[in-house]
Amino acid sequence: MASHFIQEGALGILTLPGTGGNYLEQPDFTDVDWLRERFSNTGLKGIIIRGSGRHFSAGANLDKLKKLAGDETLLFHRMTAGKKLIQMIAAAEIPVVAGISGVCFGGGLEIALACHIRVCSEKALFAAPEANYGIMPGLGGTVTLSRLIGPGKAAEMILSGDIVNAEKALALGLTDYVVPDRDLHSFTLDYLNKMTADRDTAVIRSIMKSIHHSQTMDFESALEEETKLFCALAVSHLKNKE
Amino acid sequence: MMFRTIDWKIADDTGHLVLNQPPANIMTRLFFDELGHLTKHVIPDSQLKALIIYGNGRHFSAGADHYELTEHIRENLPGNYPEEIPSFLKENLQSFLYLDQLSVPTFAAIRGTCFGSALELALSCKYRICGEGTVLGFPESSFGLMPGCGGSVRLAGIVGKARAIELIVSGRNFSAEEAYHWGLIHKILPRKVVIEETIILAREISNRRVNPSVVE
Repeated sequence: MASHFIQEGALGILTLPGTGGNYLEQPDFTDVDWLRERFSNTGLKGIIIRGSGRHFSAGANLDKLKKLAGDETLLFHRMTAGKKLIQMIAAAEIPVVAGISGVCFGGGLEIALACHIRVCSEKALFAAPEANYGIMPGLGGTVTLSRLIGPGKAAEMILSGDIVNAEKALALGLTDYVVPDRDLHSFTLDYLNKMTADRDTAVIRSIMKSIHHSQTMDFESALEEETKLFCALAVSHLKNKE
Repeated sequence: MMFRTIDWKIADDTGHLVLNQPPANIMTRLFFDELGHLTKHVIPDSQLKALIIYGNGRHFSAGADHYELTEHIRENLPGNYPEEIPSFLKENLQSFLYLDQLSVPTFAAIRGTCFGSALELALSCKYRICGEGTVLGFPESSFGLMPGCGGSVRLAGIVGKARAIELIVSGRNFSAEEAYHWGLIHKILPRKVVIEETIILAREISNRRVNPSVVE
């Protein structure tokens, strides 16, 4: 059930658990400390998150979730751990790109939404089906989806539970790129490599911090922080020249 | 007040802020000083109904001179850096913020090139009108830098985080057509009519704002 992580050049590739039809066996789909260690590798310039085999992720395994719900304390504990993973991805100071093939449902969609950029196969399918089972997204999906595609479209997608195909996902702004199925991984690798090649990790991290601030801080504070980050780069630049 | 890097005039209640160091209209230190003066002491006392920003000649502007800028930072680092940053950088931030918060419609009429700080200036306007063939970009990352006057925050606010990360980390140039597709600019016009059409647009929008009877 474990996720695995490999490094290709300066890029990290996280593959989501693949056994049992690409379901997430638990809300905390991988070990928090394990992922933190992978993400804090300062040699990396970007990370790709992809599914194992044909699908990105089918979301929670409902039977497992029902069992888990029998123990309220344990459920809360596991959901909190799941949110920590989501938060770790969202707050990463290097670009995280989701490479989405096949189904991207429920918790899987929430993982994709935590990524900074989404590339999907033309055969990809998206849905937040929780409401069909009398529940709702629990790993931040209502918030992240609203932010990405607007509250109206997010409400429609979450309340209906309807499946959205790649073409519609592109129109909604749910995905940033749609590519032929067989090119998904090579496109994603190439895209991230082109973006970050020749870029100093300090520059990448400073830019990412500032872009995160645009959502987490009030406007004027974010502007001031950007100027500080710029100044730090300019100063280190001058030091390197000496 | 005469400026050396900016041509400032008011015509028909519309302020014209023209970057006036052709051909590239580089945003030098003097430009930022003069922009600061203009936003602090001149524009607030002018009864404008609209403001238009454009470049003299073929280009909007190629942005700041990053050699001059980093040298100036070195010479002006405050004693308590990094808690405090050089005051001239804060002044620049204030100038752009002033334009951003101006209570009349603001327009960037963009032709030729619009890079770095020039794009930050354009993003501080409410409307961006581009000439065909305009090239835009945030090339700072290729110099080991990043936008420093609001570019990353403003771009993410307009086109979303994904596109902002892609464009600012890669530093790649992009066309007016791409920018239009992302919602970053509002109109593309033949380059010869960009300024005059923007003037007309500014007049239409601002008149509607202050005098509803015009619409009737």
